[in-house]
Amino acid sequence: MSETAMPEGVIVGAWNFVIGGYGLTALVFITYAWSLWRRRKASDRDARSNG
Amino acid sequence: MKRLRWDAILGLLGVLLLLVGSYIGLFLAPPDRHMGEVQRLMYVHVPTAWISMLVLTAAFVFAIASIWTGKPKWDAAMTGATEVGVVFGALLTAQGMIWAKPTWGVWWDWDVRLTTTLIMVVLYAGILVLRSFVDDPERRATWSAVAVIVGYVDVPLVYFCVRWWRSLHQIQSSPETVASSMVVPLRINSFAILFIAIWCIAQRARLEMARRRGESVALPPKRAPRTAEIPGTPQGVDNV
Repeated sequence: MSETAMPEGVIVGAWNFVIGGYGLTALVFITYAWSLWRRRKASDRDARSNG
Repeated sequence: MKRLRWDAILGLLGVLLLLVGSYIGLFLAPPDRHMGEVQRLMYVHVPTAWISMLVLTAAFVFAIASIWTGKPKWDAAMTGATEVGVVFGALLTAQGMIWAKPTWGVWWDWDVRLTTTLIMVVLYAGILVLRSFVDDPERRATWSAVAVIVGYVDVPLVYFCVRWWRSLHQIQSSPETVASSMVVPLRINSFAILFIAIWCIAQRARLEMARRRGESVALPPKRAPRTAEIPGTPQGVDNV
């Protein structure tokens, strides 16, 4: 290991940030997909009710 | 049995690839020599950045097509790509903040990369908000296409700013500078997020087309020219 390299695990709680990042990504994708699906259903319902 | 549409198949493939790529990135790829385990954020952060910029580039192309042809389908595609670009751009900013805290010691810094990315997200979100205030579909399409084209100036800036100016953010890596065991999950997640983005754009564009159809049904017929209301006014001359 070079002198400038930090020893592995020097970042305290690194896995918490990793889990936070992946969790947020999953949350945003699921929420946005659900929002699109819900809006699409509402739009289809409106179209049916308007004939 | 109901057949799956092409975009649904692409979306499902995207989710599957994201699970595989994230598993490899989290559990099989080695930790970074300098940053350790926290570098695993790269496997979602970098693909999100690439796809955000790619999606906004698609919005730029759709905006040109919308102005060129005047067809509602391009306006719908542009709206879809812009909204997905904003959602992915906001996610990108949040992921970056989560990575910044353990590596830079702060959640946020007014660094050139972070600032241009924030401008990009706020700019395109503003276009979507202002777009909702315009009732006339044709004016809305033209106006928002021009705004998307003008706003695109910021997207290459986001990409190249780390090379052009001094930045806290690292410059782009290439397969030559990254271990092959790290390139594989990066590529898998890039395709995964691309497929998910295409599904989202297709859904949002269909929604916009349905809205447009609804508007054409709901809009009252155009008023007769005012000249017809006033006796004695020459035909074809507006009396405003």
